[in-house]
Amino acid sequence: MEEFSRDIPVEALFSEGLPTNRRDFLKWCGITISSAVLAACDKTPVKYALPYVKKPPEHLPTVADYYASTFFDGQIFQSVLVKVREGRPIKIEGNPSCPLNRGGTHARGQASVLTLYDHTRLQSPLLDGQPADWSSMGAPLMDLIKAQDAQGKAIYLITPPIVSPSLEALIKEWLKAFRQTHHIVYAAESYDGLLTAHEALFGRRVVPTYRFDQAQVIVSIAADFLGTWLDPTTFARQWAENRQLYGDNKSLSYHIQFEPVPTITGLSADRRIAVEPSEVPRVILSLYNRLAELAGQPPLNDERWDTPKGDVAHAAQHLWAARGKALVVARAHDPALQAVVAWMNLLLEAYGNTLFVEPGCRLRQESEEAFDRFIQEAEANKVGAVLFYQVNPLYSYPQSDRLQAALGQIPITVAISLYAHETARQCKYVLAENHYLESWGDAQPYEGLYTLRQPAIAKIFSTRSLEEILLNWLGRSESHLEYLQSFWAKNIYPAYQAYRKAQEAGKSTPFWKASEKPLPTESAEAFWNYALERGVVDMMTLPPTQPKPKGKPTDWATRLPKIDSSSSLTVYLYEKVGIGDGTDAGNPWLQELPDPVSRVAWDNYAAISPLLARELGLKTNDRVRVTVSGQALELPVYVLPGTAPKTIGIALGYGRKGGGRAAIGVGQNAFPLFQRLPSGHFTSATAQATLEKLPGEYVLARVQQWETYAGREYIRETTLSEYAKNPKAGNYEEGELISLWWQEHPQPGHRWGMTIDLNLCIGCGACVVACMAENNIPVVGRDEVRRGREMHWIRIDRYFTSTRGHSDKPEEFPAASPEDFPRAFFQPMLCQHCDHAPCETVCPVLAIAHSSEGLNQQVYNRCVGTRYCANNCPYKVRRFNWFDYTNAEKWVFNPVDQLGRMVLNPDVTVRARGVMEKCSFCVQRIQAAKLEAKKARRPLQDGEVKTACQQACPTGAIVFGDLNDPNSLVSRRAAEPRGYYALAELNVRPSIRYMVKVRNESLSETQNT
Amino acid sequence: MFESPIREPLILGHKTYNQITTDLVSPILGRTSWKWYVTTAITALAMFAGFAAIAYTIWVGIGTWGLNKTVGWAFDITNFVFWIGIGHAGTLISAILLLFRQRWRMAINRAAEAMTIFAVICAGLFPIIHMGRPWLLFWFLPIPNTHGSLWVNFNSPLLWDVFAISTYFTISLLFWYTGLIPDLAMVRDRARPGSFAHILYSILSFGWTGNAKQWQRFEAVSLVLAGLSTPLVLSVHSIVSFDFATSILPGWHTTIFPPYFVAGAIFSGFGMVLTLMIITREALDLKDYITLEHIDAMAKVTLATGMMVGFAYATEFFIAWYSGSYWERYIFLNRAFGPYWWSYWIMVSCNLLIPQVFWIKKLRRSPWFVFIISIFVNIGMWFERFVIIVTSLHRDFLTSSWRMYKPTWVEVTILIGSFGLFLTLYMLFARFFPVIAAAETKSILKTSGDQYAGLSWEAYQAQKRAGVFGSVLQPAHHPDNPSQP
Repeated sequence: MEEFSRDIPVEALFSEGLPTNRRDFLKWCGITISSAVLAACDKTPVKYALPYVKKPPEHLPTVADYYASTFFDGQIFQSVLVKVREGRPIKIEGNPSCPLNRGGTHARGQASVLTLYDHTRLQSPLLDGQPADWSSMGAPLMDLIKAQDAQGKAIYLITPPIVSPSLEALIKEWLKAFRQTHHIVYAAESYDGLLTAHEALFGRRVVPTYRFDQAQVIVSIAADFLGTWLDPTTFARQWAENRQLYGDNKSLSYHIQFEPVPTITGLSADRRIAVEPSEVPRVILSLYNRLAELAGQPPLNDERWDTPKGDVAHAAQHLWAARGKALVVARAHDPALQAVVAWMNLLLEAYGNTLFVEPGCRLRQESEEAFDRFIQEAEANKVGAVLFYQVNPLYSYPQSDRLQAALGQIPITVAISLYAHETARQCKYVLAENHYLESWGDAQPYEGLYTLRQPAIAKIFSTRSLEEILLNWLGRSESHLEYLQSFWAKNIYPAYQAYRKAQEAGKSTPFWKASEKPLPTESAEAFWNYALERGVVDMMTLPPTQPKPKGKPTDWATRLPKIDSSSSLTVYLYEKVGIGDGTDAGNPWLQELPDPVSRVAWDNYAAISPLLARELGLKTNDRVRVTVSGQALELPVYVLPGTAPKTIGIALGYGRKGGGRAAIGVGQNAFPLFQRLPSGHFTSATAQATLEKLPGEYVLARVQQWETYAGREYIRETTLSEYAKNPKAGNYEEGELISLWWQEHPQPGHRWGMTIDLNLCIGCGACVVACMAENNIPVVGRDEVRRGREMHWIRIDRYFTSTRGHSDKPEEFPAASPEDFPRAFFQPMLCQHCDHAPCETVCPVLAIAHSSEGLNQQVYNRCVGTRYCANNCPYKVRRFNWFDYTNAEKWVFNPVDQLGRMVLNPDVTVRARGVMEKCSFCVQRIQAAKLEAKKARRPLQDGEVKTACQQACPTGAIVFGDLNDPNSLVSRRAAEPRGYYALAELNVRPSIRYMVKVRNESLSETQNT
Repeated sequence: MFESPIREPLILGHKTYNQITTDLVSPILGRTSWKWYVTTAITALAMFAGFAAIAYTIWVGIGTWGLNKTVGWAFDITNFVFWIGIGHAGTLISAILLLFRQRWRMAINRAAEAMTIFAVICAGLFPIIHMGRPWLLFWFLPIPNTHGSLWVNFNSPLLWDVFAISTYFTISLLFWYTGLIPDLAMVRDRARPGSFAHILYSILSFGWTGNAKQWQRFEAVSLVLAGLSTPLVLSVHSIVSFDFATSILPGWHTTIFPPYFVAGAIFSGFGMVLTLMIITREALDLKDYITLEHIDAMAKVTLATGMMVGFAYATEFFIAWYSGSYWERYIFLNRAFGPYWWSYWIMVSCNLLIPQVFWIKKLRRSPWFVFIISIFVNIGMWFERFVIIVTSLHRDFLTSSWRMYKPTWVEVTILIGSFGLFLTLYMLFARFFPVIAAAETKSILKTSGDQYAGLSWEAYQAQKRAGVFGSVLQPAHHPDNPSQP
């Protein structure tokens, strides 16, 4: 201890010979530290986090809650489950308890959560375009409307189909307050023809309930029932039930599609025939006449039109052979044509088997005649007030100029709307409406089937539901929920009690195969609680008989449309899966979703056939002016094989002037091109069009620039007859493949894999949007898509065959004769999670790891962005963050502003600039399910983990699961003889097995060489 | 020593040791010509434009380039491989030609080695800036870290590149600088004592005195470095070619790549050496040292390596057909006849067809003609890399992902900037360093000087008149500069 016996002379050391002594040193230190601390004191960093003062015991942070609810945007109906995390709805799933979609969703349903967090929504009511207070919109506005009523003027309420029984009752009650009131149902794409025909035939103004699952032969004439027509998600699920080739099943339904412009329904059909719009009525009439002949009934007229190959006669024969199990549907706006279709279905004994007038479908209620009457009355200055609820006729009404002029005559114009859209902008009073995820409500999409809507979040803005507005106007003090509960207690609960009694007495047959336990009927409250939890009350019953038709088919002979046999160009207006009639056009997810057929995002275009393109010297991206009946549109050209040779297909729903952040400046509005039929209905086919080439080009945002698969074997197909003979038809095994890897990595636990059935994929795009929502995928906008930089983790490649199997030249589409149409395929493509992944070996920093469960895992925070992995990926599924897409100022379409961020899934990292990303097989879902199983001390069950794409798929084409479990569905499907790996010869050992496409048709019939 | 009369002399003008020193030192210590300032200003402008474009890329993102989901590499890696190739001539000359006792290399090895270093600097830029997050560059290095088990991936050819290029740069720099030391001392000795140049070159020459022990160690170090450089000639570009060869992409996945890339690298390197040396010998009036004999020899190397590259092109096509692989056949047909056909045929013309003129001796010995051909070689070899990278990527397996690539102004500016950087560095080198290895040249004067090889003064004069280029750097008057003998 000697050497430390003295103190170290610190003091001396610091003060001796130094200008600063120890004390000064400490002072300087103190000043430096305190000034550094002061300098570091800026604003409080966390501004938006709010603690739970009282945490509701049922809500656990990081644990998602699901609430059953109902989505209906006026076109697509869906019973949904809303995933809520920490009070924020972040994802829409299909409700598996609903007998319609059974868990499947439509792309628009999936995307609907995004509009909730759109700051361009109406945030408060507007008076003359200025933000106003709700107090001025309550009783004062009601008094103004009453004053108009007192002057003897009519009050009009214009709505989309009102599927909600409680709202319907409330509207009726409200309308009673006036002397002369009208409730009109308006729809941009009208099903009035179908409704009118059924009203005339059966005395019920309903759309029939279709059962595609009961139909063995389906003939669709221009009806895109898998994508846009009526209730596509339900129909897709039903259609898929007869397309399942598993195990010993060797039968498929037979689906023939006649249509002018290819739709996903046409591309999924066994036989697709391109017909001119002017030929659509001829197909309907000719098909009827032939069926009548077969049935020994008098034909309507002498129309016997057919394609050179005799497709109509062929369809008639097949339909007739399958009577009772046949179904004909058509998109025709003329009631007479729909009546002929209905008579056709009657001939085929389809009513009561494949479609039902009782119970009918309530998703369509519009009346074009009533809307015309409204305009006439408005022009005659007889309308005192008009209320537009959720409709936007100033955008979608073909004669919007006339409507606008008429609106000027109306003293009180009210819009109840989510957005300040075209119509709302012309209205004096704009009442900001709730988003459906903020509202209570119910629905009766089909007679006897009830669903409930419940809010998943408190109102974000100062908005009200229509029910709240009406209750306020009626001076009733109850809340929307109280009204709804009492309505259900008074109406639905007794009805359900009666239904249950009849069930137990065996007096009624359920319409759907019952898959759910009955709801409790002991008290209205219990019934309500369970119904709300399930979201669906199924009381649909099958009546013993269907109504008898009135009259006879020949009654309609005089009302049939004149056949236009001129060979002029015809404009054919159609809907795209993502955009529909344009109601949801402001949704960036839907705009970025490429059209499944053309694979063009962000625009509409003039779709013309290769034949016409060659004739007029046009190519894709050329600009043209389409002129028809005095209206002109300037559009880019898209050369789409399968378009009828004299047809110009133009998609509706574009060219919006307001309504959502992505709506404006996208495409052109084609609604003015609708033409009136002699019956007064608007039709989507307008003849005598001219096409004029304009200088310059407009580059479409195409995600796929090559249309054929060049005969490459990642697409495999066969025919049903071949498949019946040999289940491996069209398929082949790879030979022995030598691996460079000397050891296999054991995967003792799970081994995740997927099967995708090309026979079931209809290309609807629900999986793409579901993946965007689940995995926080940025929206990059039109310019970046043009540059080939869309970020989708799953895409649905659409391929056409070419005339020569191995042709690499796109111009070799069959374009030699009008009836030629190439076969088409949809192939969902996502990361294949290869066991020998080429991306993994090339990453210099090990940012890609292979898990012991077979997942190819991209580690975002390790990625330095060399893009080597993407170059080496044979499936080209890797996506690079070219820019900082989280920058809300620059990437206006990417919903990442302060409010938009709320939609992000907190379980999935938002990727930084310069980082590679790709499909993770929804690893967050796998982990969550594994944790649940672990907590319950049980093994993970098959089907417990569903990827977002699988869950969204309405046809069940995607199956995910554990390949190590021999009994899992995915293992059983992977063992099917139809299974193959895409690009198996590369020996990258992918985890996704595709299933050979089987068409119920001989290939020579569908291929035209 | 007897020298074969058929072997042409390598040093002309009846030089003495003193004259060699004078000829090489006078451009350094003399007055700088305005032409040098103008040229350097232009190249520096290009360089700074490139730096600005790089800064823009790093600030905004790789999205400023023309790349897309299908074509993940294009100009960036094309430029990288191009510049790495340019460097190869220097290494070949200093290492392989040394082994083969090619004395003609002594006139050009200094400049060629300098080019190697500048080219590797240019090349090294691109792998860094092509990264999405270049600030994480240090993750490429296997340094102990606190990230747990995170380590670099030794399976990745990109990591091999890191080692290959850093080794290459280090060895080349050492070799070059070691050789410079006696010559820097020579400049120091000619500088006015006390002047800035004297101080600068004193420091740079590390106190070289030229005593026997220093020469002995100098030789030993040179030998070791030459030995280290020799495998690098083959290894560096082989490893660069592994970036492609070890992938699974048709058109990349090719076993021929290592020798093919090395031959191409030497080809392009000699192209660039010819381009610069022909200018340098005119500008610095070094025609007595870089003679037509040198140009002739380099043209022969260019012809030989050009045909090797051409042979590789043919082999690729043959194997694509012979393999029976649909993918291989498609990708090569697409190269020659697909949408990028023009780039393929530029490559074939510039690399294989045009150098065939070097069979004619008269053309090989025409400096300005060789200069034009060397420019073609540079263009052709840039396109070779472009063809390999872009045509293989843009149409691979799934037709749904086929895409075209088009560069943006940012990428073009960066390419121009890399030339600016290279030329600026070369201009600085030519101004401040002896462009010919004086000490080594002196070592062969007694064997390859024209007066010793039997070339008459008159014959020399005739050759001298063949010069066509003006001088950029005027040799200043120097008291030691004697009049012609």
